[in-house]
Amino acid sequence: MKKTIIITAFAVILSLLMPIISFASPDMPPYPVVDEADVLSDYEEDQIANKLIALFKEHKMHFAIVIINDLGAETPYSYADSYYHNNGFGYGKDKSGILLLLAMSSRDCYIYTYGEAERKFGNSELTELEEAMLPYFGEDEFYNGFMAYAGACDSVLSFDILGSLLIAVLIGAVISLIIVFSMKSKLKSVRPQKTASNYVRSGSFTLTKDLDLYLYRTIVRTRRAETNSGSRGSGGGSRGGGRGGKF
Amino acid sequence: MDNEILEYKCPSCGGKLEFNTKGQNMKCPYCDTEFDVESVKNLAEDRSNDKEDEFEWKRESENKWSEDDGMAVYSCKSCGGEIVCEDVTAATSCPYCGNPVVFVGNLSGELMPDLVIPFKLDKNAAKEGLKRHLSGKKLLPKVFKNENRINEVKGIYAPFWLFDTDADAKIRYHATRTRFWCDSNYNYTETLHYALIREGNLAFDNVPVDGSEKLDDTLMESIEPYNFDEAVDFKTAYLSGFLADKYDVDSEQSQPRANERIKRSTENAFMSTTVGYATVVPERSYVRTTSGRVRYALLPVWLMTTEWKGKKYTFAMNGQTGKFVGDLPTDKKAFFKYFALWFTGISAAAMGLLYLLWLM
Repeated sequence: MKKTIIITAFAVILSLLMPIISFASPDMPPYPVVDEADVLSDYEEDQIANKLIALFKEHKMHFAIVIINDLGAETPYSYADSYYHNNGFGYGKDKSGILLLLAMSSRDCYIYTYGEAERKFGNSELTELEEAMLPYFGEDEFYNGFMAYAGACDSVLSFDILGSLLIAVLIGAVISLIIVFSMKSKLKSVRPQKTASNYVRSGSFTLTKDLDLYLYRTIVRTRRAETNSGSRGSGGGSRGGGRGGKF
Repeated sequence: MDNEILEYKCPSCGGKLEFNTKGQNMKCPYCDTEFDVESVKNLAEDRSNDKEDEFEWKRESENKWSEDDGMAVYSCKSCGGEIVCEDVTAATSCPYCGNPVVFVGNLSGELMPDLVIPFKLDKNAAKEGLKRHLSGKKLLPKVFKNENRINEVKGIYAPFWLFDTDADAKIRYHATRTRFWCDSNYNYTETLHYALIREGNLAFDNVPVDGSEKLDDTLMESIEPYNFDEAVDFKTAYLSGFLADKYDVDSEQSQPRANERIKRSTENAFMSTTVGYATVVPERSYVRTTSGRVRYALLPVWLMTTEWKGKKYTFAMNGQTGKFVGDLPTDKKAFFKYFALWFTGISAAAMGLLYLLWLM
């Protein structure tokens, strides 16, 4: 019993400590905010950059925001893709990072992901980011929008302790209930016999009619779910993922 | 009551013979001499000619107890003591001298069993069975296990009706087979519908139904099955040293239970022929039994009872196979303790696993 308690306590402590195990500060990638359209004040730019740098240190991937006036002839994806790779964005061997591109003239907004970030930010995560920032961008509140975007990135990448705890508690409750009720069922052994199968005369079962008649058929047709086209760019030289729209 | 007491006396020393479960013969507990059951039966028949003595206790019982009381009084032929028992009792022991006695009147004529399965396991085996039954159960209150005092271990030949029958059945099922495929725009589910018709027959031998009112039907079914290959023609000698009751639930009253089990077994057997379908649902089931035969048998059961916190707990062991059953109480504190331990351990493990998944 004592052994079980010690092992259990160790497992609990270890599981709670794991999320806060520290890691060494990585080398810095390029400065994270490029405001060519000049929509942010210097103070706002610093605040956002500090936030993105803090995210980089915590999650070991490059977070960048690029605000431009015009895309020119390029698509948002190809622009973001080229910008990301031509400017040495990304961190680590796989150059992991996420770039938020805003084109002011066309009001295009594109989230470009690469490396590990592409895997971490799937469709549902990108939706979470869009829902956090687009309402602000729609009102031209860019500082608030970028801060909300950074907060949403942090939320997506952080270990959701409360949510995970709730799931773990639910799993623990269901499995342990099954176990203890199985232990309790061993105390009950008086049960009626449902059949008389123990008393069937050996070899006595004979079928005199064995007929399978086909009657009719039904076909149910359901439309397939649309495949999401935003998960990976389709332009020439495409390498990363992401998706975009208008704000 | 037209009943007589049958005792088996040792031809060697005059002691009272008992059925020996190990040797499957009669054994004298005083001089250890063993006798063949057939020989003892012949002796019993010889002794049964002594009509006058038997007439005496018949008159005495009629004077003191009426049939309506459900009780009967006999006088022990060894010590003269008065044996008061239920009128369904077929075998018991004298409360004064302990000699085993058999009431032949409850085992003759229409009340004579066709078959008996002799006890193969003795009282010690029953006690060992109880020990095993109580071990390894973590939610059983320790106090119940430690302070368990069995009131009495009774070896009883329980009355059963055995049903032999041929079951003819016609069953119709609705069955489906399903196929899935898709193209670029749609997912398709094709379901083919069939009617399955099965006709045939199945035979049953010795489907037992408890013929005793006071024995719990579910308890008696729980210790099944019995191996009827070891059943022998009834001889009163097998009852010596054990308790026995005559039936008080007749075969007609027992038929519905036998029918129910036979019908379900037949349906299961037919269902096993409906393979290769995604779903099979019975639409119409018709089962008819023919050539039905009912026999009366005495089957060996060890019964034990105990009380705990004002509740009576009954245990039963199949006297032939040793199958042991009996519901046990739950230790609520232990229940919650084990729940808390498992809950903490599994929740912590799940939390760790979720974190590892997040890291990946």
